[in-house]
Amino acid sequence: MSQSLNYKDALNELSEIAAAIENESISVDELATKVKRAAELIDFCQTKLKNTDAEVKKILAQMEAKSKDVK
Amino acid sequence: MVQIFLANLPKQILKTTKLSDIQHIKLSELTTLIERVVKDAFAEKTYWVIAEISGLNYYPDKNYYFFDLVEKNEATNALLTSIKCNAWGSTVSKIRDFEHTTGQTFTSNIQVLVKVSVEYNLKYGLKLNFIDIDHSYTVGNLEKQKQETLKKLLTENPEHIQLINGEYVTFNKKVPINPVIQHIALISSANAEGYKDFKKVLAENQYKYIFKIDEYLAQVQGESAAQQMVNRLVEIYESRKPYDAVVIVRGGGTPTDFLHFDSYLLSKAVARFPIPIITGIGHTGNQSIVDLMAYNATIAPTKAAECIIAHNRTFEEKILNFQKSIISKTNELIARHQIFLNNVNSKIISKTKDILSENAQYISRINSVIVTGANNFLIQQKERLQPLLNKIIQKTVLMIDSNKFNLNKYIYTIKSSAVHLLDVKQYNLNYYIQLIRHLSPMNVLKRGYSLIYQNGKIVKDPSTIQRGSEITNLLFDTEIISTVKDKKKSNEPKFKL
Repeated sequence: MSQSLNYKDALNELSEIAAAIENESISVDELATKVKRAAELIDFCQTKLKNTDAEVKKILAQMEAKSKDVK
Repeated sequence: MVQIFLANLPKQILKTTKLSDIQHIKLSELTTLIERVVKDAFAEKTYWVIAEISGLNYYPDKNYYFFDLVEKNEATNALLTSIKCNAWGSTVSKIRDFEHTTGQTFTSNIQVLVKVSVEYNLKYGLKLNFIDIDHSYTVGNLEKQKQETLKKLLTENPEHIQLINGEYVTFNKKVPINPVIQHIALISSANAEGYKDFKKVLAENQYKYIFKIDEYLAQVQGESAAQQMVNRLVEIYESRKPYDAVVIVRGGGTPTDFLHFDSYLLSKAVARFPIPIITGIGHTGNQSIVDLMAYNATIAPTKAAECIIAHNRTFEEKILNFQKSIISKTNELIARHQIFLNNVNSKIISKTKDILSENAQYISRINSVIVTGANNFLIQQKERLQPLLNKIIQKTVLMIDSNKFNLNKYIYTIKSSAVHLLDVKQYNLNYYIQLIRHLSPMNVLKRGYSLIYQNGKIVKDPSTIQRGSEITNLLFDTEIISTVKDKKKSNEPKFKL
């Protein structure tokens, strides 16, 4: 997966693939490639989301800890 | 009237002494006389008088007021008349009431409507006794003054002070206030209660906000109070410190120093000040002009402090709300994306499976169609081919048979023809042999023919034979050698066949 891939682009591409697969505008020739790509994208998005979630939780915990200190 | 009294004085008090021939009386006698006259004329009488207070002295120990009531020429301001006046005892409480209601200190240079009685004292002379003071006269005067000051502020500072929809809009009100007020310049007098109250409320705020307060102490009472406060504002401005707000408090003292906050100079300075000013002047009546000019006016020092705390709390609540909304929105967003990804994932998986199985089914269907179709086709073709094949086989057999027959015929013909031909040929050959035998030179020679040789060669051309040439004639088995005697053309065709 390219280094420059970001979540938004990944999600857009994923949506396109999902739509194409859903309305069956994908040929069997490219199906495997597309599904493989979709799996990669989902994995990428999931990982990114999980990391973001973890990071956000950490930040939120810090925020809450700090705001408690202030109170 | 006095002259009438004097005229009626009893004769016996007009004495003569040896010291002077001039008829005279003691001063006490005179003043007693005056006292009596005054008493007779003014006793039990009171007057409401409009006058200006001048040269006031207050003795707190004795709770005494001494002052002059004066009247000046309105045009020239020249003194027209003046009389001593004092207030003491129970009447002082009237002055206190007055000060409390009007906010006007009972002091020099103010115009008042006072109720007085006239008294002559042997020791102190003629004076007026203060009995009461009219509040509404002073209030009206003060209000008039206040309106004049406001008018002056508007006309002389049009860029900084405007009256819009009955509200005074000043430069100070338009100064953007920082979302958090922490660094405060405090104008107050150090010993004022209001100053302590203000600091206490800030220090004990329940949110534990921290404040940095720089004190700019000023007298908030007395003659120069307004000027001092203006000077403090100038100091604050010139300090160039990044104050979030300037707070002016007053409180706990007498209500009389309130009037300084209607001062033109202070009001103007407040209106034009580039740092938001919060007032907590602590008054019961109408707002002072400084209150009207300031960024925010509260009615007491504690209220000013509470207002600052509330301002900061508003900011903190905004931040806390942001935090809350960030937390909930973030969680929501992540959850939404998670669901979306899961949906897409399962959709892609199931759809892919569908597509694959559909295609597999399609292919297997096509496969079976092709297999049966091909088989049928082959069978059909076979069925169509069979009669042709049969025909071909038949024809072929026929053809082979017929050819065989023909061939045999030819073979026979050839065989028989060949024998015949050989016979004929043999016959012909024999004939030729016979012929050739007849034609052999030996036989020819036997039949009488000869061959002529010249120089070993057979002569075929008679021209080569000359007279006298030696020639050899071969006649059967004999050579005849001869010399040519003559030679001539023969005209007799002896051997015509």
